[in-house]
Amino acid sequence: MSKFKLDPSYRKPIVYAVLVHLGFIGLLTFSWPFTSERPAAMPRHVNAVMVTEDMLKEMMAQQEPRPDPAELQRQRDEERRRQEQARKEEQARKEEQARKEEQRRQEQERLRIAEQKKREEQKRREEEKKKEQARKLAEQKKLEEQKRQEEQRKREEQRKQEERRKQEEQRKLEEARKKEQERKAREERERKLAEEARLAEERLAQEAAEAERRLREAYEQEQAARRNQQLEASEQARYVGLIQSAIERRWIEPPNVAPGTQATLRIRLLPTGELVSVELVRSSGNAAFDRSALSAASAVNRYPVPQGSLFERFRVFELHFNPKG
Amino acid sequence: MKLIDLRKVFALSFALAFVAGCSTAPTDTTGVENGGYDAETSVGAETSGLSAEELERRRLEQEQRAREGEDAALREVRVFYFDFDSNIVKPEAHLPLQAHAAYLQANPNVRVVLNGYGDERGTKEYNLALGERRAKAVERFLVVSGASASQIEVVSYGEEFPADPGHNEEAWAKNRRVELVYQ
Amino acid sequence: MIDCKGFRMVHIKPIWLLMVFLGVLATMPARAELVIEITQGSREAIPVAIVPFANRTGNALPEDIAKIVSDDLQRTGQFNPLDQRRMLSLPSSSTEVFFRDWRMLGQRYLLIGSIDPAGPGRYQVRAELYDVNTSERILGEVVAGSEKSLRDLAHLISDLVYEALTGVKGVFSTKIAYVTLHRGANGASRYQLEVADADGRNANVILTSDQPIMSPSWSPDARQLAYVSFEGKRPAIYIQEIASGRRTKLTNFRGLNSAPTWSPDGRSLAMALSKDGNAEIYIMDIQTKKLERITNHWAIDTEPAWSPDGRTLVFTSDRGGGPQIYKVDLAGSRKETRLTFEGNYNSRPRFSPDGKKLYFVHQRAGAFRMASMDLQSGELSILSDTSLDESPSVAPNGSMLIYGTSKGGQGVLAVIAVETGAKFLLPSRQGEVREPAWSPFLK
Repeated sequence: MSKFKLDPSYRKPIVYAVLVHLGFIGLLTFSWPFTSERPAAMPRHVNAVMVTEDMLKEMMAQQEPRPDPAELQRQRDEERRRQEQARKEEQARKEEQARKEEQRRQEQERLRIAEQKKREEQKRREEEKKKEQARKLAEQKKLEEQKRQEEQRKREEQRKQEERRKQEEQRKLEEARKKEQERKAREERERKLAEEARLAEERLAQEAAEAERRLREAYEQEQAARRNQQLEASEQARYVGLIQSAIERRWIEPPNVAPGTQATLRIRLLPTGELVSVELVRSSGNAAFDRSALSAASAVNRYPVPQGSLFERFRVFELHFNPKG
Repeated sequence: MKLIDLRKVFALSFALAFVAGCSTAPTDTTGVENGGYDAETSVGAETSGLSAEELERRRLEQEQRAREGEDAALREVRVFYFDFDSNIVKPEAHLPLQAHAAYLQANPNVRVVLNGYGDERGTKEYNLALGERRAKAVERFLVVSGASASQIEVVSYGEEFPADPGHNEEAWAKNRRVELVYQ
Repeated sequence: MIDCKGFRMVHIKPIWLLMVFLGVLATMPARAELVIEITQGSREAIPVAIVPFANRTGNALPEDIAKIVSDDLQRTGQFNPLDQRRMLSLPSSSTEVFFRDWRMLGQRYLLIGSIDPAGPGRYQVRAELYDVNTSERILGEVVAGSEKSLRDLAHLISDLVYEALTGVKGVFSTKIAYVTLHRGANGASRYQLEVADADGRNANVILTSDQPIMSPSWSPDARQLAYVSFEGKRPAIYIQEIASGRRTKLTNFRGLNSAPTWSPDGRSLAMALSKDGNAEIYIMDIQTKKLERITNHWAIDTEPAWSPDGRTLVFTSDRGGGPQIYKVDLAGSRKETRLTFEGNYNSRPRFSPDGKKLYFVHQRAGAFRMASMDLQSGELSILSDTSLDESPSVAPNGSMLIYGTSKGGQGVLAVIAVETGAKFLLPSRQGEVREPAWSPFLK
């Protein structure tokens, strides 16, 4: 066996493999925490109603106090007063209205003047902008001109450099060609190695995957087998109970049996539950006791047995007669 | 069980005083003696439990009756009854038994057999022993009343020879008895 | 540089995994044979078909062997013989047996047989016992005897069947002794001591007397009987050889001579005598007639009985105020210990053959009943439903108890099967029957 050198190109596949193993084991033991909570964001909804001065007055007017029915005289005085007041109010209102009119007219005038001002302002600004733009343009042109001249100068220099370089290059090219050949050869080898490493890596990954699959399969099989076992065990227990009661119903115990007397029979069945044979495998030492057990086991016409693969456990089994008390 | 009968001696000497000129008068004893039983057992009490004075008084009465010949009538009573599981001689048996005892004493060649019986309930051999115990209680009474033990034999038949073959309390009461048979 | 060998290491990994896989399989439980536990059955009577035996003698036979066997087994309460009318066939040899027929009738065992001539006045009885479900032959017997002994041959077959199916020796060939009383028209009494088969048949008179006969007791070899006779107008204990009729008067004491019981070694008799004042227990050596006094108490001590090992006597005593059962160890200190504490009246004890139980008369609510007591636990059980019971006697296999009781105003003998509680009365007869004693096994 030659020494196993850990080539650096192996590191990646090994790490990869280990990580895959760990990752899978992790997958198997832990489950994703699938909890994503989306808090619902509700936009605030506000209802606003405009209330004018008139509406406000109306609301206040609706809240006038009711007249008192007991005092008619007061009412009449009230009425006179009210009328007086009404007249006054009317007058006031009229005056108010006139005032308001005046106010509105003044407002409108003010607005008009404001508008005008605004328009003039706008015009002035636009003109300014145009001036600015023209100035910028002129500047730009100047800069571009400068650049062109610069570039020209540069190109000239470059051409000269180029010439020099080309000569160098020619010389280097010869050298490079040689080197190139060498390099190519090396690269070829390295490529091959890399290729192989890649293949190895692939194979490793494949095997890792394969192993993972097999492990997973084994695990799932085991789970399934365990579940099956449990099901089988409970089914089995049920049939054991059925057989027990079938035998116990038919077993006539002989009298005066010494405590601790026990006998064992071996029962062979067909899948139909019918008896193939009953044999005494362990005598109790008491012939009548043995006989009573054989009689009981033989008296069962058809043993209750499960179907399918579970029947195999019942194909051959033992009955242990062990009376208590 | 032998009875040490001091009182009998005393009574005899007392009676001797009356011997002159009198025909055979039955001597009587005063006092009562227990048999071999301890007083503590409820089963044991087989005597009448009467006091010395009482017996003496009766003896004198007896004398009178003897002269009047009632003895013979009394001696006709040959069967004495007992309560269940008991061997106590009942009061109604005393006078007849005393008459018998007097007669026996007067006629030393005469022998009697006391046959003891019990009712059918319980087991045979135990009833045999119960019958004997009853008969022995009567024997003791006779001996205490003057008869000699050598004149008396006790035989128990237990459940055998029931006086009444019925299977009720009435029949059983009739079967719990001692019979006195002159030989 | 990597060399080729390095790759091989990579190949080992799958093998490791395979081994792990196999290891997982190995940890699964190995498959052992299933064992089902049966911890209890029933105590019902075993269904058994006893087919009338084929009579190949050419003569009418005085006895129905199958019926005798059937009655014997039924009386134990442990067997349920099939009613003959339900038998689909009457086989008498194995070739004629269709086991399926008997299986359908729910029978567990089948007894068939035949009677063939075996010389002048002699017959040969062949009997075969089969397990219906396994078709196995359990017994095959041939017995021979005279015409007179047909009943005995039948009882012998009953014994064999009983022992094969219960493991316990049968008592169908044992005897019972008892006393009968006839009261004549003129009032005269006739007492007889009789010995009969265990089923009460074939009675033979051993002694006749116009005076009471009481307390028969068997010697352990079943050849002699001890009893009390009043023939001298007084009770005395006699022993009599059954075969020859030869008698010996053993006791003639003053007072009681009663309750003789034979010791298990056959050498002595325990008895109750009152010669020393009141009823006490004594043991008499039959050979020497020497007496040994056992109790000394002013109370009645009577009805002694021996334990099967001969080391203990139990007896009745009323020293406690009423009759109760006491025991005395003959081997040790002779201390007398009381055994019964339940009820006011317990008397006439008898041991079971295994020495573990006592049978006796127990009074409860005015009735006198047959009872048993477990000597270890002290537990008392009432066995009979009759009410004037007396004189219990146990069969030598411990399974049956015979005693005297009253039916219709007359004394009769009753038998209880101890395990099953089955009860039957012996066939009634003219007159009274009382004081039964079950013989030991006959040799």
